[in-house]
Amino acid sequence: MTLSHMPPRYLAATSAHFDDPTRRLVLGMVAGLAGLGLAGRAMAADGTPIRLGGILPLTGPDASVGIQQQRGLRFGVSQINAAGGVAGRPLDILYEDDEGRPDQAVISFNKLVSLQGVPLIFSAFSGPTLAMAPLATRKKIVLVNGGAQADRLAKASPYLFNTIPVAGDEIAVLAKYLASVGKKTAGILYEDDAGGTSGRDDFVRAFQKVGGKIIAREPVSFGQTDYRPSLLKIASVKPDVLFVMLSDGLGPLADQIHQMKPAFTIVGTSFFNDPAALHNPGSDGWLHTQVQIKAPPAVATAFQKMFNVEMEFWGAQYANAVFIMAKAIEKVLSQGKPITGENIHDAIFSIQTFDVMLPAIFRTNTAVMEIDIMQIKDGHHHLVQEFKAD
Amino acid sequence: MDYLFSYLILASIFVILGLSTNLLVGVVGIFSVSQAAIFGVGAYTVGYALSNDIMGFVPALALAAVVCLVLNVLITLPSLRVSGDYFVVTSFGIQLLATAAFTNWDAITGGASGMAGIPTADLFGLPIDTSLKTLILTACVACLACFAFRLVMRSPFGRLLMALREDELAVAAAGRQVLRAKVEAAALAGVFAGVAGGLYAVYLSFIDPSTFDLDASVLLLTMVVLGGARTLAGSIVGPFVVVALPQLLSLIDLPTAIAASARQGIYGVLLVAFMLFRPQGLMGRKI
Amino acid sequence: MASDQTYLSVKSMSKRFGGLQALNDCTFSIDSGKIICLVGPNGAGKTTIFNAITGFLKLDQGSVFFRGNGLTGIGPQKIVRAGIARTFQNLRLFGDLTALENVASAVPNQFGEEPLGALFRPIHTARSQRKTRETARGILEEVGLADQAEAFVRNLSYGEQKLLCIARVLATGAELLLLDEPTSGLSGDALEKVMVLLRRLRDEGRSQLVVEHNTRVVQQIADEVLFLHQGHLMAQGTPEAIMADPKLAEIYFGGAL
Repeated sequence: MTLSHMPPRYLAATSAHFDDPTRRLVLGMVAGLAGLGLAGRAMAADGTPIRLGGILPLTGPDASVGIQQQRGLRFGVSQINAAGGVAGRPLDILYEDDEGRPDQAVISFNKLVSLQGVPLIFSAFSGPTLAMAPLATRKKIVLVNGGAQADRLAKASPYLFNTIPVAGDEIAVLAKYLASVGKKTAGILYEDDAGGTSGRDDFVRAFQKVGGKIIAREPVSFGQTDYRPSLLKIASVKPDVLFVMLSDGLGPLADQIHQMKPAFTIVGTSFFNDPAALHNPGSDGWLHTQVQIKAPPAVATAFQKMFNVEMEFWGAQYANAVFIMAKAIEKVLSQGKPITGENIHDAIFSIQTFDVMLPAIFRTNTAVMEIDIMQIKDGHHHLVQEFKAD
Repeated sequence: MDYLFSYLILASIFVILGLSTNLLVGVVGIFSVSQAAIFGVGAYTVGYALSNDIMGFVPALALAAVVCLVLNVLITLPSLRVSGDYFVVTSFGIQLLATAAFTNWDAITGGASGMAGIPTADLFGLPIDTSLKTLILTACVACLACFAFRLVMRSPFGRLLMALREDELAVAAAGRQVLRAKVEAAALAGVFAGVAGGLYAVYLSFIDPSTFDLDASVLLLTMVVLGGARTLAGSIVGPFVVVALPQLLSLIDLPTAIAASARQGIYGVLLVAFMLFRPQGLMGRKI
Repeated sequence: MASDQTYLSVKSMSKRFGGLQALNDCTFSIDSGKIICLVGPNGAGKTTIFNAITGFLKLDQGSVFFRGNGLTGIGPQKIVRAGIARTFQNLRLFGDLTALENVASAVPNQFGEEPLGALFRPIHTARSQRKTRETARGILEEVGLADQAEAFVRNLSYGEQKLLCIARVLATGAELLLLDEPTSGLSGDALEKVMVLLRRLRDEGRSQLVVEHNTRVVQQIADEVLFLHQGHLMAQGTPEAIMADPKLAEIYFGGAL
C-alpha cells in the first residue's frame, strides 16, 4: 500500500476543531435555519452542509463495534471537510442508534428520510441492514453497508451498496490458496450469528470445491472469550488448518493459541486485521485474506491523533465508505443534479472505479477489491500472494 | 409522516405483545423470560407461510395464534411444578432453546442470517402495502387486544388470575382448578404473542433470531414493568415509552464522541431511578 | 365401611414427614350440626388433619369418609364441591383484592371464569358477575363486614381479616367448615364477634371442625372436643369432661409425657 492511493488533500486533516461541540452545534443551527429536509436537495454550492445519515448500534450488545464504525465515519467526514468539503460544501452525518435491532433501524430510517431528507444512510450489521433494504428500494435512498459481509446483502436491494466484498469472495480466494499449498483438511471456528454462519457455509462450499475436507465445526457466541474447549475438540481431529470466522475476540483467541501451540495453521479473512491479535505473539504464522483495508500510515496517524485509539478494521472500512460516497456526491453535484438517492446510485455505477484510500470497483452493488493472502509474522502482516480483483 | 407511522406501528405491535406478557407475568405472576421466543414463533410462522406462498395473511395469522397458543401452554406447564424464582431459570432455558432453534433450523427460519423479503400483508385480497394501511391494521388489532384484555380483567376469570398470583393454595381451597386457570391464561397470552409476531413479520419484512432473543424478552419485561404491571394503561404506555426511548435520547444534543456511551448511561440511570421512585410503573399498581 | 349415618369419619390416618410422625393411626368420627373443637399441644397434628381431609396432603395410610363417600385421593377442588371447605391459620387472603372480591372469588358456579366465556359472552358474564357480587355482599353482611366491602384486604384490621376468612369459606357454600384457629390473635370485642358468629352459623346448620387453643373459647363454643396428642386421638367428649381430666390438662399445659 502506498500513499498514492490517498488523494493528498485528505492528509491535510487536523481534527481538533471537529471535536468541538460548540462548532457542531452552530453548524447544526445553521443547517436548521437553512430549512429542515431541504439541505440535501439544495443545488447551489453555497456552503450548506450535505446531510447524510448513519444508523449504527451505539448502545446495546453490538455497541462496541458500532462505536468503532462511528469513529470511521466521523474520521472520514473530518478528512473530507478539512480538505474543503464536497464541491465546497461540508459533509454532515446525522447519527441514529438502532441498538442493533431491526425494528429500531426501520424507525430511524424513516426518521432520517422523512424528517431530515437524507439521500444516503450508512448502516451496519446484516439484520438492521436487511430490514432497511426494502425501504431503501421503495424510497430510492442509498444504503451503504461498510461492515457486514453476509452474502445475502449482495442482492438485497438495488440501492444497497456494500463497500466491502462479501465474505464469499474472500473465502473463495483463501480456499484456492490453501489447496495450492497442499492443505487438505480443515476445522471451522465460527461465530454463531449471521456473518459467522454465512462465512462457515462459504468456506465449506469453497474448500470442498478445491478438494478439501471439513472435519470439525465449532460454533461460539458473540462476546465469548474462552475458546479453549472448542480448540481442544478441534485439535483432537488434527486438521491441517483451522478457519476462524469471528468478528470479535481475536485477541483472547491468540492468547489461547499461544498457550496451546496447536499443530494446525489458523486461517481467516480480513477480520484478522485486528491490532489486538496482531500484537499478540500467539498470532504468529496466521494466514488470512485481506481486502486492502490498511490505511496509509499518515492517515492512521491522523486517526490515532483524533481518537487516541489505533485505526482498526471498522474504522478504516467506514472512513473509506465516506470517501467513496463523497466522490459519488461530488459527481452528482458536478453534473448540476440534485443530491438524491437515485442520482448518487447512478453516479456510483458511472464512476465504477473508486481510487480512494482503499480502491474499490463497483460492477455490481458489492465492491470488488484486491484480495491478498497475508501472513502475520512478528506483529506485522506480510504479503504472501496477491490475487487480482474478481 | 413515515417516521411517525413506523413508530406507531411498532409501538402498537409491542402493545399487543405487552398485553401478553402482562397477562402472564403481571397478572398471573408466572415470571417468564421467554415471551420473545413465542413472539418469534408467531413471526416465523407467518413469515414462512407467506414467503412460501402456502396461505394468505389472515389464515397465516390464525395459524400463528394457534401454534403460539399450544406452545405457550407447553412451556408454561413447568410453572405448575416449579414456582417463582425457579421458573425464571426454566424459562431462561426455554428462551435459549428457542434462539438455538431459530438460529439452526435453517430450512425453515433461514438460520442466523434470518428471513428476508417477507411479503406484505393482505386482508382478503386488499393489499396492506403502505405505512398508513399497516398502521390502521396494527392499531385495529391492538385496540381489539386491549378490549379483550379489559374484558378478561373485569370478568371472574380476571379475578381468578389475580387471586392465583397471590395465593395458589387459597385458590384451590376456594374450589378452583389452579392448573386449568394457568393453562387458560397461558393460552390467551400465547394467542396475543403469536398475533403480534405475525404483524411484526409482515411489517418489517425481515426477521432474524436476534430480534427474539433473551435481550428482547428482557426488553419486553421492561416495557411491562415500566408501564405498570397488571393494568391495561400500563401495557399501552410501557411499549410506547420504551420504543420511543432511543429516539427520545437521540434528541438530547451531545457531542458525538461521547453521545453513545452517555446515552447508554442515561438509559440505565433512567430505568434505575424510575424503579426507585415509581416502582409500581407509570400507570400501575404495585407488584 | 362407614354407615350413612356417620357425617365425617377419619380412619387410621398416618403421615410421616421425614423423622416426624405427624399423624399416627388417627381415627375419629363426628356428627353434623355441631361445633367440634380440635385441641392438643403444638405439633399434635391438628393442621395436618385439616390438610389431609381437604385434599392438600397425601396420606401414607388411612381414609376419610364424608356422608359415606370416600374422599381419599381426591383433589381440593372436588372436596370443596363435595361440601367441605377450610380456612388457613395464616389467613391466605388475596391482599390486592377488595374484601368483596375475596369473597366473590369463592362463590361457586360463576359464568365467565374462563377466557372463552369472558371474551365472547361479555354481557352474560357481567350479569353473572353482578349476581356473584350480590351473593358476596350478602355474606359480608352476615359476618358484619358490609361496610368494608370495597376496602383492600391490606387496609383491614386483623380482626376484620379473620372475619373475612370466615366469609370466604362461607361463600363456597360448603356445609362443613374446617376453621384453623379462627380466634387466634383476637381479644375483646373482636373475639366476641367471632364466637357469636360461629355459634350463629352452627344454629343455621353449618357444621364446624375448629382448631382452637384458647380453652375459654373452647368451653364457650364447643359442643364436643377431640383431644389430639402426637398424631393420635387421645380422647373425645364434652368440653367439660375433657377439661376435667387431669391427665389431659397435664399434657396440654405441662407438655409432659
